[in-house]
Amino acid sequence: MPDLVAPKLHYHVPAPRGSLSECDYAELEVTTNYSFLRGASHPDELMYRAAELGYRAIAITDFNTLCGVVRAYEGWKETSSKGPAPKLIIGARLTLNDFPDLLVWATDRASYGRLCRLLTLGKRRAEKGSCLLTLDDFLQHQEGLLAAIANRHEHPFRHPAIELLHRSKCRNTYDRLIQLRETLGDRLSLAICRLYGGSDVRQIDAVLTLGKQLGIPPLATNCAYYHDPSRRVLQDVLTCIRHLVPIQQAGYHLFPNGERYLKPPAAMHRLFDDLPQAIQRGLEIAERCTFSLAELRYEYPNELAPEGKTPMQHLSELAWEGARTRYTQDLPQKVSDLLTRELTLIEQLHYEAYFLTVNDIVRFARSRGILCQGRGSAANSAVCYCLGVTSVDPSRIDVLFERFISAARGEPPDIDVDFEHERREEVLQYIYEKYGRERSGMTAEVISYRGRSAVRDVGKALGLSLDMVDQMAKRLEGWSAGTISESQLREIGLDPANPHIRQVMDITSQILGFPRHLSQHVGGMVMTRGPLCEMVPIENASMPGRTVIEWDKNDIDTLGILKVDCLGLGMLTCLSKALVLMNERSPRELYQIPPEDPAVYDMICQADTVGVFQIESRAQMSMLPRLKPRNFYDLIIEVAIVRPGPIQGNMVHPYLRRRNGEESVTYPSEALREVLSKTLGVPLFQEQAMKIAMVGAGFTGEEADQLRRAMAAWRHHGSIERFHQRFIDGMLANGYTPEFADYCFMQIRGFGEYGFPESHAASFALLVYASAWIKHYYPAEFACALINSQPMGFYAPAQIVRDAKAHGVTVLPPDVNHSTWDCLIESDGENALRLGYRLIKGFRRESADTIAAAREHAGQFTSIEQFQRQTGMKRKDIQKLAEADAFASLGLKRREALWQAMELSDDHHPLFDLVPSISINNQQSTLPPMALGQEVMTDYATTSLSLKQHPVSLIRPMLDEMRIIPACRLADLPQETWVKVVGLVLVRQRPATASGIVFETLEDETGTANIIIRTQIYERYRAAARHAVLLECDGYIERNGMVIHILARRLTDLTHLINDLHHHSRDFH
Amino acid sequence: MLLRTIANRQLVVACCGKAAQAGIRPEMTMAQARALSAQVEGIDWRPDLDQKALEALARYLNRFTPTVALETRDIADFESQISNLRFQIFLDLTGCEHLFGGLSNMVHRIGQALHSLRIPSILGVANTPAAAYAMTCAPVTSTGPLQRVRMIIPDDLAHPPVDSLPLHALRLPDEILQTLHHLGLETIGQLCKLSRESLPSRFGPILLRRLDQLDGRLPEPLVPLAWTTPMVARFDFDGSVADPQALELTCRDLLEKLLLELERKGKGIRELRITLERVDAPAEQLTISASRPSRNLRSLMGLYRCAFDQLGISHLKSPISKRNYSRNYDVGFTAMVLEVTRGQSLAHQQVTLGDSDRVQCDDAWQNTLDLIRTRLGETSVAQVQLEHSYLPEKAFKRTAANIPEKEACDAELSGSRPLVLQSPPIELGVMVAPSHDADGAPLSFNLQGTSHTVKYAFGPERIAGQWWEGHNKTRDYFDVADEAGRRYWMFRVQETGKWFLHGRFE
Repeated sequence: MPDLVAPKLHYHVPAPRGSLSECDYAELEVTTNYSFLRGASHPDELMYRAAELGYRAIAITDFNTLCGVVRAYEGWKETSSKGPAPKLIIGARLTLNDFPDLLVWATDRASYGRLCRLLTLGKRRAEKGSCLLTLDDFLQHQEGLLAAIANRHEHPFRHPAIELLHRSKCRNTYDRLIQLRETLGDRLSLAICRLYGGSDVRQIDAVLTLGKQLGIPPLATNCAYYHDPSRRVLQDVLTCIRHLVPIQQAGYHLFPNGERYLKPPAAMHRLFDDLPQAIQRGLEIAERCTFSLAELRYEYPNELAPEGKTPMQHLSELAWEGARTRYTQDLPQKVSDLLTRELTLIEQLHYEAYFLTVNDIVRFARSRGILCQGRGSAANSAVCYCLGVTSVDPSRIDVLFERFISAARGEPPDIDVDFEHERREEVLQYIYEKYGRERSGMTAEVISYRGRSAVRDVGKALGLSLDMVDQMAKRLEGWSAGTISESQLREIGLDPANPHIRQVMDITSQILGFPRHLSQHVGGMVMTRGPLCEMVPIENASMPGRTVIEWDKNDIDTLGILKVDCLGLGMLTCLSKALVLMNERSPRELYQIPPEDPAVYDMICQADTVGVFQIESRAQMSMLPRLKPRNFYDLIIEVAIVRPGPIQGNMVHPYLRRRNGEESVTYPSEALREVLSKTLGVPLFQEQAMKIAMVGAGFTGEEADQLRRAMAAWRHHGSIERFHQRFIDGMLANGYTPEFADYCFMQIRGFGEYGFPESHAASFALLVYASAWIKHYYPAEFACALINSQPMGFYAPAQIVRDAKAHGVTVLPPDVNHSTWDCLIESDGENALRLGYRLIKGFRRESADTIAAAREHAGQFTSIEQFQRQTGMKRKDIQKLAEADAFASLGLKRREALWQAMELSDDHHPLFDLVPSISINNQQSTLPPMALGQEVMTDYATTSLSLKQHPVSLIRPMLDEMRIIPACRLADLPQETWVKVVGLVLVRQRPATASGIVFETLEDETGTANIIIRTQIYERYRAAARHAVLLECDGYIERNGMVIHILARRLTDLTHLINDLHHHSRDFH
Repeated sequence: MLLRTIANRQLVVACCGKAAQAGIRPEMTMAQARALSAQVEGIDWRPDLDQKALEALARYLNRFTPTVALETRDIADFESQISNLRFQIFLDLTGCEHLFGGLSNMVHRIGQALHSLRIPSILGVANTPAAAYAMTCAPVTSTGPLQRVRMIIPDDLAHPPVDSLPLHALRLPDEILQTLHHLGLETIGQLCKLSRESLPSRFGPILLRRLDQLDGRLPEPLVPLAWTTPMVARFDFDGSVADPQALELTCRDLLEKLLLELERKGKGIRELRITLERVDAPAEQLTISASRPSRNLRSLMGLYRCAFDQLGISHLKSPISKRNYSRNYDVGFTAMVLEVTRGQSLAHQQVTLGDSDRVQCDDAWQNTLDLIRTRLGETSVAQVQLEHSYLPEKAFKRTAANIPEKEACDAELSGSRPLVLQSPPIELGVMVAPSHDADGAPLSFNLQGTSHTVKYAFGPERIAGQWWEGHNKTRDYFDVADEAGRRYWMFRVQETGKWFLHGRFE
């Protein structure tokens, strides 16, 4: 009961205070949505609102994190460019194990560094996402930090001061408080807020009493969780998601009312009219915090130049030396000019250390024999080429160094390097090793709510049944906007007018884009000269051995911190393995592959590209015969054109028509001819989009670059629209027609999804050519490397093997006397591909290595008993081998081998090894023999492929009766013929660009058939279309040049036919 | 369809015929099933319920033979056998055939019984349980007269034609079936051709055991379901007795008898049914229940008296009331039967040193509660429990007065609250201190025509509405004292500015 307090009327109206300056206010306790599932506003929203309300300052104090401060800083930059902005104070809320929570604010760069270090300490101790700190930890890092004892954030909402006053109950904490007070002196405050809780009066009283006892001043805050009162609903839902309870049961997990928003300074003054000193204290603290994120200076690591040389000298030496190696005879004038120019610019902008860093990583990879290649805009640089970072010869394509580095942009270049995906971890660990955990870290990636996850979580939080949530989430397939139309709702049996459903939809649309958790970026590494952990907190990743900084790519960009993207690329692994295999015949390096081989282009034009990098997808394959690439530049276009960007921008068909001479090549103006001549007047690359904006619409280089960023930032949907009017106006001013201006903008927006820069396409095209070349000349090695690099690419081993056989490669089954874990090339006069144990389902690598070692030691195996004696393998694993028919070289059929294997015992008796084993197996004859169908199906069941026969061929007689034609005959049939085909379903695809149309590829023993399933047909034959293993498709042939599709009209699931081959198979697929 | 969850994946265990028509099969994931048919509804599979139902059915079949057995297996077994979910009950018919007019008649009767229970089933008959089970796996030859029940009675019971039957007729673990399948073995006959010696080392003992059980080389004893006799005590009066005291004495005797037996079993009474039989009218039934298992004669008799009073039979004593006795039964009862309908093990209670008072106190309290409940009826006594909610009227709930303490909610009140709430709140006329934010405190108020001046007001405590239930209004609560020192708890609805009295502090 609040009887203890003198009776008093609260909150009566104060006389309006005089000037505005008296209504100054600084909000120092703000939780943003980067305290995941707590705050209900984006940092920038809070910043804008604070500016609107005329706050003196606003602090960001997220729970044990600095994750959101850069976004707030961005918001600050934007508001301050428009007018007076509140000061942004960087801080955090520390949850301590042995003490009430502390609010902490950084006063200067040094104290900010200590805060980062403290958070790093707490996070490195704990598992990902949590933080373990004690008051002692804080005391060790307290120098220069301002702190306040925070309000409790959970219910029952009681200020820690109340407990501290009952000294007898928490003696220890009280003593710690005295210690804290003595260490911090006047840097400590007691935060209070008036949130209209039931016990406000008591709390304030306690805070004042305690403050008087110890000399700690009170500090007024409003403990803001959102910028606007309307976000209360969302905050409640987030709380429910955090606690995994439906809102009906959330009870005291929620806040009792919606007062935690940014209130106008006048309102805050009224709330604390009896405690003006508490508000004054906030302003004072704000005054003392002078730190701004702008002070963070990124410094490159400096150990990369040898003693006595400046980094620049070192870089230019390396570059020229590299140029001499690259161009053995004589250096083309163009390249040497480029080098000189680039090096000057690099020196001017002080990027030399960055190039050295990348160079160092690439050198390391090379020294370990890890294949790597730069991608992205770095390929625009001759220096990168000479350093060996990228592989696109600048003398072969037009490079645009400005795309890579520009003096105007004032931001570091972006060098992405692809490594073999299986060995990338070695490179990452090298970086950690070299720079240490304190100086290097991986970039974070903020995982945000998108359509499905949003509906799922919101639906669950509002207590919808799981089924319903599922149904709704499913309808969001392919939508990123996160809304479900009313008709869709009705379709799944929900009433759109139902207020409950309305709420779900409303809240879902609000929650979209909210960060949910941090994950790691695919490969961005940050390295610094000084300790990185004093710049940004570093935490553990869920993956062992990885540490991640708290900021993501955009944050890093904003602060001008530089990262190196170390990405993993499956094709590099494959190429590397293929080169090793080829070296047995003819040693060769990747760059020694002869360029522009017409035979290779012939193969590409035939769309004979299973396994070839990038152009193996069905969409690419159907484009190849139309585009008919004949040289390297055509390949670059091929890579760039079959992308959602150009497809949605409607650029593909105009380009094809122009290329095939069906349409004349025209340019809207002479100025644009220069930009577009390479691509026949159709913009295909990002650079061209930028140049159109510059040349056509009069954008400055800076603006064009912003446009490019907007194109790339698909997440901020709509940000590109800001440029719309500006672009159209510019185009019109330069005398272009409105239609053309619109068309161009549409195209540019198309890039917003996915578009390639030319340099990137060129880097990829190199790999396309290299892999095509190897496939053409060394099909066995290529297939072998491809299978050994799985999982990657588009096709499963079965298709790769099939394709290899089609190219005349002999493929041998896995066998204990020949195979290893990986597939091998057996050269016995002619090259044959021996499949490895990796194809056997459920077989482990260690067992494979044991077998190889035993074979080395004891020679060929002769019987199963001897096999077990030599390898010491468990019966279960041997059975797996037997089922996979891997004992054929012992003269054992699958069933006999299995029968014998089953008799083995796992207990090893070394003594019996000496006794020659007596085979008691006179049983084989009683085991029923295996029919071919069973053999094939068991092959599929154990290795997902069969070398014996294609399953469809086994039912061909039946299919003939059903008048089903083999896939190879499709080529001879005219347009619109009604056909029926049957095949195993290889691929099911529903590209986002194809508005619901599903593509499936069927395979029979003679080839493949591509079918197109329109939405209605798909819906009608849903079960068959989605689940059939063996599918019959009836429909009309559609031809387009060499490309043949079947437009499905009827689908039938024939899976039972092949299952019958296997009798009562339980385990096919 | 029935679903079970394995590591985040929901799998179909079984489904109804309609779902099966849509292509849904066991072992599918729920997502796949839903893709096939949007209408299917999923229920969580509860193997324990299956087991219970099976047991109930087995007990029902006890009417045909004393030996009815279930195959003993635990829940874990169930889960591993999911791919062919079959339930079996074994009946030992030996020696009972003649009671039902011969074997085939008897089987037919059993079939009819199952048919009338609408339970689809297959009946297999053979000389050994294993063979009988195997017979149920025989292929369908023709449908009999009963749609739901198929009966397979081989011509020669001693040598049923098992050779052509599939291997799953042997009740083998999935793993072994899988291996046999890989070896290309599909029927029992094929398996029998292999040498016996080669089997155990490859498949473990179970395969051979099953084969041997098939033709009786190994016995497979059936363990009949245990039959528990109900605990009943009965006393037949000589003639009819209507005197409550005599009845009470009888009851005490019978109860003592039962308690003796209960003590041997270590059990106590939770529920006792007392039946008073009459000659020419329906029997009277009294049910008394204790909230804890009890063997306390005194308290149980107390409960009995309480319940007996409810009957109104005590009025039989006086002639006046006898006339008024509406049901007009002038004769007494001929017998009294006591049956323990719910017994429960009486847990040994640890009595802590010096705390035995509390235990006794608890017992006394429970006993009183039982008495009140018996007297007033089960639903008339409620208990108030705190709930997690900020809304005062939702911060508690009434439950049956029987919740053990540990299940009680650990909620705390979110602020100071009056003991009794006004329901519904009474609207007030209030004069409010002027305030900028419309959050001013009341100065005076008018309650039911009387005007009160506010001496002081604490507040506001602001409680927002439960928006998810469509209540978007916010209340500002004030703890108010008037000039007479009476304290009121009132709130203003922020959106409408109306005031309500929600309770008084007394």
